[in-house]
Amino acid sequence: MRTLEVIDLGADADYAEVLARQEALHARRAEGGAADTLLLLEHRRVYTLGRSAEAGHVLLSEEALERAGIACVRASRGGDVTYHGPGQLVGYPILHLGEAGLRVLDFVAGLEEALIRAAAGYGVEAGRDPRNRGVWVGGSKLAALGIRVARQVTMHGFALNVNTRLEDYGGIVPCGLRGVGVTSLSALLGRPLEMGEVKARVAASFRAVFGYAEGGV
Amino acid sequence: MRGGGTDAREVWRGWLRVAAETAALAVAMPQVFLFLYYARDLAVGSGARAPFARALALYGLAVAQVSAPYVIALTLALRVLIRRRVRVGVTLGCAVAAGYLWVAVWNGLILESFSYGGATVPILLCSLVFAGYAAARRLYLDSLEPLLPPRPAAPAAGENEAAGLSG
Repeated sequence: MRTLEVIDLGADADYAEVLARQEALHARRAEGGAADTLLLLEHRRVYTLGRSAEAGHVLLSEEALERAGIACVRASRGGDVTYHGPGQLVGYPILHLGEAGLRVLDFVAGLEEALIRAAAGYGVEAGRDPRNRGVWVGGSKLAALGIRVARQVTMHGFALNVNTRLEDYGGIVPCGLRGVGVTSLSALLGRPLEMGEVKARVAASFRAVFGYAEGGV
Repeated sequence: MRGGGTDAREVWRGWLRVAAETAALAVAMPQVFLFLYYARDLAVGSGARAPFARALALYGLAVAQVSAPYVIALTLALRVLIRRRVRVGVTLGCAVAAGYLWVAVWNGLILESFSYGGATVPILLCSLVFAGYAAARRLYLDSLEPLLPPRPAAPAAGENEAAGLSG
């Protein structure tokens, strides 16, 4: 059975630093010098603009962003604008799709499935929206996806709102979708969740969905 | 016999120097480029610079591993430039062009990681070091030249003819 290395990078992770880590892992994975890896972390507060993002989807001025202490960066992933910050579990899978026998769409559907299963572990019934990628509860987005594939190896990934400060989404049009709500597991359950436990659940469901041997974080 | 041993040792020392120079460039160049490319993020990122620096060092090693053939070819080209006593400006121009070519190849074949604008300062600084090293090495070789025994002049064609050796 294939193995997946899960690395916990902790909280308050700098976006540029993690991007450098991802790119290094990506280069090594594509050369066959590293195993499939899932990075799990919480970012410092940042708005990221994907390749198809409109600058107008960041609603705050530069001064307002600086006052709020939120950085704004361009990201090489697909998708529009999203927010990352404390209380949000971000996962960056560096997977060789060719070796796993997966197509890109299978991989995206697998990511959604892993997050839906993890949410189900807390009794939250999440699902898909056929028009918009991600994981949804009712009309609200629980997790956003934004991936990139080069040389059959993936990078970037998902952002699952666990204990996220949802007010921070007020500064953007999340994923370019106006009038769409954003939710979190803690908002749905009415209590904060222990991030270590959520990471373990997400890692376990990720391994189960993509057919990796069981293991720890 | 002794003279032959010394010659062999000299040849080996020469090869070792070439290998060390190539390895140092292949490992150091990506590290320097990446630290310069991410310098702003490293400087303004609040706290935790050590893990970021470690991540960049590992990234540099990955880049060095993947682009080793390119950097080795570049090092050999540098040796040719030094040997041919090419002017520093030309070496600098070649290094800048090679830097942008490397970014284009990396972005095109490996992963679109670097913006050309963001890569300009790292490429210029790496190229200056590259050209500076070439200039320093050339000066060193020039300074050695008066110490070397003069090469015997090649016999003129006319001398052979005079000795009846032609044809």
